[in-house]
Amino acid sequence: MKGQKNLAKDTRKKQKHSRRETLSNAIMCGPITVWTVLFIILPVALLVFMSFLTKGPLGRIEYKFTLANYAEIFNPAYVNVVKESLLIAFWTTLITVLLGYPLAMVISKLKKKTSGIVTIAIMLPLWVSGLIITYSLVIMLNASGTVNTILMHLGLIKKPLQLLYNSFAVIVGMVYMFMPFAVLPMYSSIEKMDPGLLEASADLGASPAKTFFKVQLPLTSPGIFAAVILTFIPCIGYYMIADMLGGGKSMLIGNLIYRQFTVSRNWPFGAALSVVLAAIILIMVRIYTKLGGSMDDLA
Amino acid sequence: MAVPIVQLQNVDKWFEEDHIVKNCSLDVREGEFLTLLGPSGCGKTTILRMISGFEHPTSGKVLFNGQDVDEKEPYERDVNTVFQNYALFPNMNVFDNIGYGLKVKKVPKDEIASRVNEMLKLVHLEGFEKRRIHQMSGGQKQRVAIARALINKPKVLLLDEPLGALDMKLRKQMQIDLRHLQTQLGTTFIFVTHDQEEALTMSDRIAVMSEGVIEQIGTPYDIYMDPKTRFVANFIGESNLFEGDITEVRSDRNMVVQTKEGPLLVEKPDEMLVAEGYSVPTSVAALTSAELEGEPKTVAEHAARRLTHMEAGQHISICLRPEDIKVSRTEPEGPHFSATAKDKIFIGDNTRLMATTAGGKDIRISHPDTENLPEPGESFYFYCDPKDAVVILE
Amino acid sequence: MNNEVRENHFTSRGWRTASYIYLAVMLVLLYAPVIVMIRYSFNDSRTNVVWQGFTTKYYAKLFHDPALWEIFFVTLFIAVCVTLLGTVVGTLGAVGLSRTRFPGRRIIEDFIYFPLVIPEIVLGIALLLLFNFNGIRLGIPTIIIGDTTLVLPYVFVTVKARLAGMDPSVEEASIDLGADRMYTFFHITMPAIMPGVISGAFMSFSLVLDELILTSFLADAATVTLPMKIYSMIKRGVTPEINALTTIIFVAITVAVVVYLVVSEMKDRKRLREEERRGEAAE
Repeated sequence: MKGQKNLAKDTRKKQKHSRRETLSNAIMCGPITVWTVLFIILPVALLVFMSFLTKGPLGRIEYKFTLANYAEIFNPAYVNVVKESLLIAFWTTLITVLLGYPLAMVISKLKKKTSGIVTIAIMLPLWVSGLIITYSLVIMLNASGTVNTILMHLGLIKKPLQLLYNSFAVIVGMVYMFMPFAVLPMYSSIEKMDPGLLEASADLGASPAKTFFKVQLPLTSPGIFAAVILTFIPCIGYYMIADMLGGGKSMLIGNLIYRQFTVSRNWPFGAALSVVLAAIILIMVRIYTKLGGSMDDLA
Repeated sequence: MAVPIVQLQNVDKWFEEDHIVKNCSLDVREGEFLTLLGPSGCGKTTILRMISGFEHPTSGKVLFNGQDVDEKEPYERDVNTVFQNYALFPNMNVFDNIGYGLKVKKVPKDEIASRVNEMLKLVHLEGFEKRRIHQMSGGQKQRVAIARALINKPKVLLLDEPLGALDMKLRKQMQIDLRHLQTQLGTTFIFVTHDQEEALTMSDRIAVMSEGVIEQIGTPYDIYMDPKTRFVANFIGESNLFEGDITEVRSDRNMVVQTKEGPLLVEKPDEMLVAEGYSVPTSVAALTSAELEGEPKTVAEHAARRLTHMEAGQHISICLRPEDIKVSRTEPEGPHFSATAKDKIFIGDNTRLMATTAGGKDIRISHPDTENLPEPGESFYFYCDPKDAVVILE
Repeated sequence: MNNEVRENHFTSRGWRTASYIYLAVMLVLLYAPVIVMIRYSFNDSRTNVVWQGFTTKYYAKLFHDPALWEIFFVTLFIAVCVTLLGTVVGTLGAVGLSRTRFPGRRIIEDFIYFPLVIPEIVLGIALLLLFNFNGIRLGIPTIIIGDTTLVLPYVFVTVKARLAGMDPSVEEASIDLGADRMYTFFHITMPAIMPGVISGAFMSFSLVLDELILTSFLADAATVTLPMKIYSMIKRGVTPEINALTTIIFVAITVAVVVYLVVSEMKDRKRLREEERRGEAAE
């Protein structure tokens, strides 16, 4: 009790006698605080608000409270979209981690300098432009594209395969898009691991496979975990890839939301979908941070 | 008496729910080397930071020359700090580091140059002007940090465990150099350390702290010879503490204390001797009279008041330094204990003897004469000169 | 003994060869689409299928397209504005929030990370609603606001990482020596966090140049940025012109990134060499 009282006194006192300090703090914290309130918190609040409004005729919005927009999501057609999105995100994440982990291991075995260059080489295309990579994939997977041409030349197929505009293409695009970001945390967790532990395990008679599964995998699990988060989360919401490589046939949550604000002009429903999408992601992020993950690693 | 250059008056500091500094009062005299000594987390660094202005007391006052400085920002206070990890500016060379305080004050360039050179000479770093910080050794960095803090000619220099990161040999050298520097400049130094040996070597006065409380303030001699609390007795040097009740207060200088291990003849506390009109060593007498004036500030001063009067039946502790314990193979006259030797370790100038009393208490004895000390397993008697026993109130 | 174990394990010859092959395959797969795209941009055929001979005519065409130039400059303008704004606000904020306690600070910090995790489409819609509710006309300013919101957490995180590696008593030392907080910020804090600020700015710039979703939500009909242009071209079908345009962008940014990396690497080396020399001289 006494502590509480003194604490209150302390704060009051501090405010009183460091006006200049307060000013310089205000100059530093002010802009980002105002920015966050105005352009993040307020818009998100509006989005939630919008999700409870009613859609009027011609896309107008009526200020009538309703839960119908959320109920609408349980329409089987939309449930399927959510399922499809989660499924694609799941497969993408699985493939990304399965391909990325060995890659991270290989990089970590390289000389320091080489591994730096290789890491940059892997990051570079995405860093430059995800849009351009996605577009290049369209060229690759075309009916008359490089992949089909090569396969036909090799005599493996007679007529071009339908590689584009299906879920396969979307997953390929997503893996391309997110693998470099997933390799990074896995690489750094492998790098941080004490190689002596692997040697100790082998020294104690464990087979390489046993060493890998019993020692290396558990030790690098934080990196794998970060990679999963870094792949799964953007996957659910990213609609450009589905749009370009799925050819509109593969409808994901992102595309559905996009439609509500363009073609369908059902803003309240779009807002409700956005809120649900954001909620799913925030819950996953919460789990991630609760299990010891750092927000800073997601940048 | 002159106004203290720095004064803490009933200072309390809370961090959230933690009471870090508890009602501390402290007077720092101009030109003295005062050390705040205590284990980590005892609040000594917090006191230093309240003086430098990086923390503010939750209640109580910090005064410079009698003036309340609560309103003053750290950069407006006439004190400078030598930080624990040097805190040198990594983006600047040695010259710019030392000259920083002057550059901030827009002192002309040529004056900065001459004063930096003066400082470099003072800390024996001539020719290092252009060195980058990360090219310097720990000891050199320390000198740069000291020069940087002294260039503003502060009235008070605060040093927060500045030697903590140095190795033993360098540490000893720096202790001597620092003390020398302080005498040469006449600047008031407030030095924080957890190393009791360092505190004893360097200080004019030591304030011993424990859990946010100043236990005792005094010269190294007083603190060592006349600890007033169990904490001080244990923290400074080694002690053997015996608990017991006063059985007889004699009419002469001594009294008899019955401990669990046996009876002990000890001298009355100095305060009581003074009160009874006996003469005591001058340094102690001066301290006691000062302690008895005005409001008591430390735990020791509270104790001093109660020590003016002791009577039979009172429960007290007796502190005996290892070197003050006398050992005998034959049963001595007068009050004594018996014990069995456990271990005997030769450490150069001294031999340490670990023993267990008949009551099961471990004691430590230090003696220069190895030959005459009992061997492990051997039983022996020990006693003390009543003058060497220090009375501590429970 | 130990060496034997090592040999048997991950560094044996077979392992090494396999891992190099794996790395090579992955890199080829990663770069194949881009290389194919670049190759087609020089193909003298409209169909992208068969190699018909080398041409630069699509590039020439792009160069002489005034509308494209305008789009380019608009995009550049937005990117520069966003980078400046995002870097200043993000840097000040990272420094300020790390040393201030005020009610609601935690909430603000949590929300700063929001754009990092929630899909751009959600952020775009939320901002669109904000501008709509307040009757603010969409255009370049709203794009700048949106993109800045997106890049803020990146700057914030990189600067925060630098700050975390900084000894807080260095700033206190400056204040202790008589410098006020502003002077300390510019002379002590800024130089220490500069690498973080620069990489944050660099990240922001490249993010904005490639930003499509947020921009298309916040742009009015008259404003088109390069990614929007490319996207709308792609929607109409694959043409050699897009190949040429994307090739130019890809090569330009790649060169910029490589130059940036080489320059910072050279700086590092130069510093190291100088230090060595000084160290020897001092011996």
